[in-house]
Amino acid sequence: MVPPRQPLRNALLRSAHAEFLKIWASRMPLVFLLAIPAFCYLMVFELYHVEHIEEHLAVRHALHAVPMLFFGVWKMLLFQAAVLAFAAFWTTVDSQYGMIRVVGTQPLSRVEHLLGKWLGISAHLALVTIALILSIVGWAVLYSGVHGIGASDIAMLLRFSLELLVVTLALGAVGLVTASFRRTTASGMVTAMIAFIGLAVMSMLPFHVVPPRFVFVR
Amino acid sequence: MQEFPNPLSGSDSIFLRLYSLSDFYSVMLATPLVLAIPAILYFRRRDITE
Repeated sequence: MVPPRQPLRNALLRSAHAEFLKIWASRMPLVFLLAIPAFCYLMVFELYHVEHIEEHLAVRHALHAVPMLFFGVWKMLLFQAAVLAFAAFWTTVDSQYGMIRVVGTQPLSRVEHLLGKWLGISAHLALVTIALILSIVGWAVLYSGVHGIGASDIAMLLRFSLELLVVTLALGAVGLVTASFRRTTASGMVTAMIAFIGLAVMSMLPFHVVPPRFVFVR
Repeated sequence: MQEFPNPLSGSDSIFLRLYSLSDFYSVMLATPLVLAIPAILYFRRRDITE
């Protein structure tokens, strides 16, 4: 007997929830969450112990250091590469090992399955982005303190955090959407990286063809 | 990123915002969406019996 179909919203939520739990069970997100503070410390060590920023710049409290720390971490491109690889891997792994056929037997349309998968992966990307922000702010607080931080500084940080979350989710979405055209994890990751490079190359187009404000990788 | 403004003062930003918020959010929303539509259409018809 065929199980009754659920409304789209329920089916999507259940599919996304199942995808989220499946990815969490792999322990890969846990490794990401534990690795991010250590990864951020690379730049903390560089700025505080090698370049001694507090001797050269007026770093009065943690939020004066956060932009420099973030700039260093972001320009390493490792976080973005990890986001793309994570998104592409989890989009294609079912297909590579044939598990997609098991999903095909569930009372779920292909679109519901795909959107649920994208949502589940995106939820993990949101978590790692929050971990990145907390790591950068945490290290900055540890090294530069919180004395002198005002409401406007916190508002600035919250707004920046929201925008960083949007950027990372959009970047992850580019990765998982482009990987959805492929069937193996390796080809999915390569396609996601090529899509990212293609978006970066768009910034080299003449401004009268595509104005720079409409280019994803500015 | 080039975007790290102070929303309450707007004058003491370390980084300068070059583009408006609407540009930012529309590009961030539209780019994945443009790629998602063909991906969904493809996935509806692709062979999953490999």
